[in-house]
Amino acid sequence: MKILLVGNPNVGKSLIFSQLTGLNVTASNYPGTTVEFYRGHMWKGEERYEVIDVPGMYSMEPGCEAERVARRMLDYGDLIINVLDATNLERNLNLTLQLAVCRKPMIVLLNFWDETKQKGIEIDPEKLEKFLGVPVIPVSAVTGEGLGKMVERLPEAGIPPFYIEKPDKRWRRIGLIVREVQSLRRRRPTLLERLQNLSLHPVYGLLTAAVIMGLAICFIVYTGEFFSGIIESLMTRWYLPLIQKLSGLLGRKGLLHEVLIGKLVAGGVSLKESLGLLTTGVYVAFGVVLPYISIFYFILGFLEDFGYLPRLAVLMDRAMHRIGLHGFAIVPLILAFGCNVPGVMALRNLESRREKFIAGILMAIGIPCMAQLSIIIGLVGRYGFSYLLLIFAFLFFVWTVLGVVGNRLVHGHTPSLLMEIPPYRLPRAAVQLKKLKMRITAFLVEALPFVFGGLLLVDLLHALGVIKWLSRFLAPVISGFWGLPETVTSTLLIGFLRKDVAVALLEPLALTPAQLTIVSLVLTLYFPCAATFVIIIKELGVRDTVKAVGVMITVTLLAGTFLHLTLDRLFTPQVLAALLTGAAIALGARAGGKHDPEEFADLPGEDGTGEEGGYNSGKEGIR
Amino acid sequence: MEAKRVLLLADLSPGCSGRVVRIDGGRGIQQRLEAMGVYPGVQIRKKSALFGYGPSIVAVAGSELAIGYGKARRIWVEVEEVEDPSGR
Repeated sequence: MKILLVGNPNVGKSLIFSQLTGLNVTASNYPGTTVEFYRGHMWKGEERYEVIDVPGMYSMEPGCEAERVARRMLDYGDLIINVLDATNLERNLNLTLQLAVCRKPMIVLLNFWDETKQKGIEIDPEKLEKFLGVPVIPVSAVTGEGLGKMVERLPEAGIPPFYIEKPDKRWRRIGLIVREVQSLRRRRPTLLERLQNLSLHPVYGLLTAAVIMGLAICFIVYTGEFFSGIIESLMTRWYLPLIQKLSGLLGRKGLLHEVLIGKLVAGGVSLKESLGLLTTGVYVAFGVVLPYISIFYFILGFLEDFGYLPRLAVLMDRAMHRIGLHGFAIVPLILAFGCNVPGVMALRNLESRREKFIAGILMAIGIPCMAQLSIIIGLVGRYGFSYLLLIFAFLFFVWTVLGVVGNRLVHGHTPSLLMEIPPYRLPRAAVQLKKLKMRITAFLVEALPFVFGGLLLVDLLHALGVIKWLSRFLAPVISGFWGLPETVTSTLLIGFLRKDVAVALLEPLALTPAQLTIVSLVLTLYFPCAATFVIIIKELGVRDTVKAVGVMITVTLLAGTFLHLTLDRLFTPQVLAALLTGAAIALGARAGGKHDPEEFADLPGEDGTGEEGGYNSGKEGIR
Repeated sequence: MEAKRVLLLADLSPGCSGRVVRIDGGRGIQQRLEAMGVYPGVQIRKKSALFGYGPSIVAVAGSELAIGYGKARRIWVEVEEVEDPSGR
């Protein structure tokens, strides 16, 4: 028996799924957190039920890829559990009435039941049950209240006896039902609701956004540094002596010593510079990347569950249209700072192929993941804040140029924003911790093998002489264009696998600050890591991926050469950062001078039918 | 203020409410808006809007929506009540 959890986006399906199956899937307070379906199972006595968490959908006509996934799933299930947001009954019932077309047994859950009381909403579930002809059960996904009753009433699930095809008739029917079963009490707006209005205010809203983003970045950089420092001193005190002992046991040389411990630096073992699995590998993963990632996801988790991200999307909408995207695209781009893989996945919330292509390129080229950033902060930050600033200014510049050019050249149409803004909700500590734990575990499980694999590969390629051969082959570009020593070749190779390891390999090379800046930027721009690359091919298709790779190589060549010619020769990093930021802002402002006339034309991209074949079929042209 | 004016949602001032009378454009945009609860005949209230060509924030069918400028330029609203925008 297959049970589908179906409903509008952001009604709490994923949390209910976690409660029913004991499996953890990410849940947040913005529409479109789930873009794929998840399977799990639950037991009722001796019976085993398969439970499937379906991405949210507003209607039976899919508007984006995530909704298309949901639509396909509907044919697959045996029983539909329709999850409704009880604080928003009217809009949610629209899907309920349409689901009747599936002719499948159904149960209706009224989630956020506890919240209705605070909001002065009173719903009569028994009356609603009579109207819908299927069981209606009030639940609270966060506490799990009411879910037991739902499991109990599973056998009562019935096929809804109505189906109304015409939208206007359907809405009239919904109006009638809502008037009968729901009563509203007038009350004063709560503090959260006042905050809600404030954060979308044209002036205060933008100010708040700037302050929140600034604080978040400072918090991540400073606490990351702090915790990383603590872990490093703990490792030096307790872990390093163990490794030194092991090094002695292994005879201080030989193949195994080379792989596990690495090279001796000044006659001793160095956690940072020895480049062995147990030295650099462990240090990079646990001493640097782990603290930064934990703090990033701690902040992101809070912003997600509080409901801030959709507001940011609204505030950024205008600016994002200048680079060919609409406001919601900010959400995948922010997710990409944690790791590009979930960022690329979240592109499924965007409607047109053009948006996906532009956002995908911006992400793969211009957004370094937290793991890579943490090592860059540690390595480049040593020479003062200015070089770090330059890296960010440069990425911002590349971003704006690519966005503006992409907006001009990429065919197709970017529809305007249409998004539900969920209410602010105070995140619960237990839910937050669970989510944080889940994301950190995912990092450890998915990243560690690549960190160790990357270091092993360097050893292997050195031993086989591949790196020497490649260094000679790439010398004109690496030393000619970028002014870097040939020794960085191995880092470029490992960057394909794992970018944090690649940057960490720079530690023993004794590069100048300018060289470090150039190679850090080159490593960010030139190519996404293997995991991201695979997911980009899956989401964008081979053709668009090939084009994206072309753009990446061009941008990297130009950017590296430009920096080599100017940084610390013509300009100090501060001046260069200021120049690049100014140029980017000027370009962005000019590009947005007039409104995109295409938005007013009725183009196929906006009706969701022009792309029925899926963007992988490559019907629509991108130059 | 005279009653029963028909304005584009994009041009409506914040705090005003009214009834959607028409949505310009093809089946696609009609369908997408309808799925979110915006259809001819529905009661709508504009809560605020961002500068220039920014999105409009509206309250409709019990939920809050952000409608981008391009779509707000296709939704015609018959103004029924003009509120003081500060009295939200």
